[in-house]
Amino acid sequence: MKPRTFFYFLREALRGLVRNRVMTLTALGIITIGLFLFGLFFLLTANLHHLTVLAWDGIEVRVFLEPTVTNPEKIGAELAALPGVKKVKYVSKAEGAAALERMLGNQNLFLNGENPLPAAFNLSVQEAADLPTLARQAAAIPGVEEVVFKQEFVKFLEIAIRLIMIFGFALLSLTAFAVLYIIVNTIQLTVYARRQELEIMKLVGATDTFVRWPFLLEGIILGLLGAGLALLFLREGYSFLVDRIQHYRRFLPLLSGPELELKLTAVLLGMGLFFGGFGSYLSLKRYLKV
Amino acid sequence: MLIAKKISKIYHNGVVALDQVSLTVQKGEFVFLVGPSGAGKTTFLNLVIRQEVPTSGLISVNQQNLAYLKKKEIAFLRRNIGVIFQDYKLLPRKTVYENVAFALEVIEAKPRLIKPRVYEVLELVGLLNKANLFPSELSGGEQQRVCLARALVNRPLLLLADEPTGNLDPDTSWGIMELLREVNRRGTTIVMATHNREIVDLMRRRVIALDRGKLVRDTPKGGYTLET
Ligand SMILES: Nc1ncnc2c1ncn2[C@@H]1O[C@H](COP(=O)(O)OP(=O)(O)OP(=O)(O)O)[C@@H](O)[C@H]1O
Ligand SMILES: [Mg+2]
Repeated sequence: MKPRTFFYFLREALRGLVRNRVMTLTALGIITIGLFLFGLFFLLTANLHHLTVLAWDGIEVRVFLEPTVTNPEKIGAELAALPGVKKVKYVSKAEGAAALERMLGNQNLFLNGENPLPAAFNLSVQEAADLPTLARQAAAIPGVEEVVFKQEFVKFLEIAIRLIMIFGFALLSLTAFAVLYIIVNTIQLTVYARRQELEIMKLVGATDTFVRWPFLLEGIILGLLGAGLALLFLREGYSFLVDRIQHYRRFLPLLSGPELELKLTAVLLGMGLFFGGFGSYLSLKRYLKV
Repeated sequence: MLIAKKISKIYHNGVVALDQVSLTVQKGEFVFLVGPSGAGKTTFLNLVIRQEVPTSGLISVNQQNLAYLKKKEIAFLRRNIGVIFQDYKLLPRKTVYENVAFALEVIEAKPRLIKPRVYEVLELVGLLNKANLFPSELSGGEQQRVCLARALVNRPLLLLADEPTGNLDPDTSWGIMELLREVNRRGTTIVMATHNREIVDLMRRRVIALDRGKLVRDTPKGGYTLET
């Protein structure tokens, strides 16, 4: 496309938006609401997922060593090399005893006897690691006596994560479809209002491409503007919420930070762009048959 | 220039608008297409610009068989045909100037050529002083002339005029006819659908008459009705 032609399309798109003010504002409002809802569900799913990740982070696999072991470093290295292991922490006999004493509030637990606790490794695991397999592999390392983790809780979490993934995916794709549907219908109204213009363009010899572009640009501009507005509302609303529940942070750790913001921005702008353009494309199809 | 072979058009509501019509128009001819209302004149013109497709029969323009055109070729076909539509088909939200310029923008003419050319044709049809008005601010005859300007702006090989004098007083009508005659003299082939008996009788050009979709007469230098 020649730059000249592109600027012509852009000019026509902007003119179209300005000259059909009422339609433009209606469409913009509807697109904003749609994308706002999508963003809301996006944040919800992201937070649910975040919660499960936090829970998963709390999972520890404890690897107890045989009393005869003299080379815990080597076992530590082997453990660290297992798939799904994030971090390996060595807990010596003395440290284990101290931790136990602290937990029971009794300073003198082992005062009169030998410390019966074995040395151990605490493993933190990666998200979605296969724990049963990991435990089996760890147990197979010579010098390892026993591997312990909260099997029931892990099972529960695995199911929860899977449910949230499915639920989130379904919710998001449903909203995405609903938003696309709404956008197509809205743009269809604006196209309908200008079907005469489309017909005449075609009758004086415009190619489909030529007729289509200004409308695609209009859709894209509307989509991006709508996404921008939705983002603005979401950001204000969300940071208000995060501020409000600052106190309960320990119980309800909401996701926040530049990474989330970036993701949300990218997703919404992408959707605005794609749905605006694609929505226009679909809306136009019928009218290009002249 | 224009060849129709046994074309029929039956609309989806069952109306037979054209029935086995065959005719040939040579390059440079000026042809009147006459017939009572509903005879199929507009339908015929719509077939020529491929706005409609015939139910059967062949139609070709400039040695191009319209049955086999790709979408893009349809656009290019239309660039060589100027049309004065019976219902004008002006864009209400564009000014007179924009309505005419539109036809050049749409075919991606060079911008610096557009302005002088648009003013040239507006002058030709006598609307230079109304260039910045909207169609709703014009009389019917003026709108018709905008439509004529738009049809001419692209220097078409073939001009289809559907009732171009339909809403005009006799003097203005003759003004339009003078313009068309001039355009024709410069080489543009013209097919003009009309009810205007006076004009047809005085111009003495080829007359093709349709009645209820059938071609009933084709006389060189004829009149509106068959003279005895
Ligand atoms: N799009 C359409 N769908 C269905 N029927 C149509 C359509 N256009 C025209 N017709 C019918 O086809 C017949 C011929 O119509 P057409 O417009 O070609 O007549 P015309 O000769 O141009 O008449 P007029 O002099 O009044 O303009 C009419 O009976 C009309 O009702
Ligand atoms: Mg007609």
